[in-house]
Amino acid sequence: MARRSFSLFKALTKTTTSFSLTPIPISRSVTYMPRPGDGIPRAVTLIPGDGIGPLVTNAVEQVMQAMHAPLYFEKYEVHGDMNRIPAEVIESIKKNKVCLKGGLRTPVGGGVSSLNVSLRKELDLYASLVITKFCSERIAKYAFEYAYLNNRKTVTAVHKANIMKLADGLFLESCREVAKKYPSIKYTEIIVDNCCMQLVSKPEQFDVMVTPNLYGNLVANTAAGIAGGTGVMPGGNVGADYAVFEQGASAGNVGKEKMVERKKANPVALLLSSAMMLRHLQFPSFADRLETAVKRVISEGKCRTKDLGGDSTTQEVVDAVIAHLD
Amino acid sequence: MKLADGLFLESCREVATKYPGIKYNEIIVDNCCMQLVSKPEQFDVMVTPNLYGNLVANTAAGIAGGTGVMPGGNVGADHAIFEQGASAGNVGNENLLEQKTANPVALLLSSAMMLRHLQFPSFADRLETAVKLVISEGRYRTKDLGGSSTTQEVVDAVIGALD
Repeated sequence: MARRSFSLFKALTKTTTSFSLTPIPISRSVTYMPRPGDGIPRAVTLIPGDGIGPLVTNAVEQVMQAMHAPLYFEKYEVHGDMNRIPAEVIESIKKNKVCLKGGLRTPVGGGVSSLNVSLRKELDLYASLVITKFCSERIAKYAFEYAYLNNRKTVTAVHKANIMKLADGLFLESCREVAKKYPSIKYTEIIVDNCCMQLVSKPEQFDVMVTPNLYGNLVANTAAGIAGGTGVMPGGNVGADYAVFEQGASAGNVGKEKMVERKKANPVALLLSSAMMLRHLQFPSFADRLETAVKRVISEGKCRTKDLGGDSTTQEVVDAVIAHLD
Repeated sequence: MKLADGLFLESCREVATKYPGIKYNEIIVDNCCMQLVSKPEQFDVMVTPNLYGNLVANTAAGIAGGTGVMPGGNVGADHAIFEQGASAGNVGNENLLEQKTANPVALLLSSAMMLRHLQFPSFADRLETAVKLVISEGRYRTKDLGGSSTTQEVVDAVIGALD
């Protein structure tokens, strides 16, 4: 799955442990020259979804409005118990090219496939359930290209080729081929079992990681756990034509009933995902403002939801972020 | 220039109404030059007809460190050209050329703007950071910045500072 790694939040968690008021300097991206017309508002498809989804997507709507960000949302009702994603929603995403998603409840058992998965398939985002040469090649290429364009030093392929000899063997072959074309980027391989152990004991050894979908979710959730929890980790799914931004890890489903009722879900994950989306839409200045405001709120430590050790509601965190916007 | 600049001001005022969150003001170019050299921080984004634009850009360059450090770009709907922000006359004096002591910073920073325009923000950041490091370190500076390094020495220093 072409999910962005958690390095951004690793930097954030360095401040969460101390919880002191460290002033974060304002830095202007002064050298960005937009093309004429870049400021015209862009349409983005919004799927609030189930559970905490509507709560956290509403948080994003509020912050975007406070920033006067050059985008507007086309909202659609989609629920996990639907048979399929409505055609008009797919059309909207195909028209807008970008979508922000809260989360869709995945029924356990019963043979109904997850709508989250069918959305990725429909839009041909680079997740693949069946490992084919085609899919392996393009995810490997994306991983190395991502590392190259973001000045990252290492790409690690996470696999279980000792057991899944054919499928993962094919996956590794593709990674090795692409690695040859990026001699300045270090390439390593690790069996997923060992990877999980290494992640919890020495996570800093990892940089960019590329894995088949099956382990990808596992690794992403483990990484999220280390980096502060699913409430803080942003994520994105990117394909050649479309991109869908949502929380980076879900650890099961769409949040507990209680959190939804008491409106105490952590909006940070989706706020940071929407910052990734702003960068994708080429609005770096808005992305910077949003990320800086979120970092300030977290490092201040006064407004924290339960998963971060506090007792704030979603709205309190949103208000704090809006107040810290510059 | 009542007609030409009058038209220009009308257009600016119209567009300003669509951005209520952005402050808009006007200044006559003579006063602007004086304000620039005495209290430059009062200015933020400036828009001017081409005639004064070059003048203002060169003045601003002088305050900000000289034509050797100021980047620039020309952007249109379809194409973009990046070059030094101010030229203060022409293409440098003979001496600079012969001794190969021209300041490369201006064009390096212009190329960083170009990298951002091409949507390679990570490379733009790396380049700008390296240039900032070299300047703040102060060891490799061309004559216009008070030093005596050659162009190549500054380039080597920037490359050495890349991460």
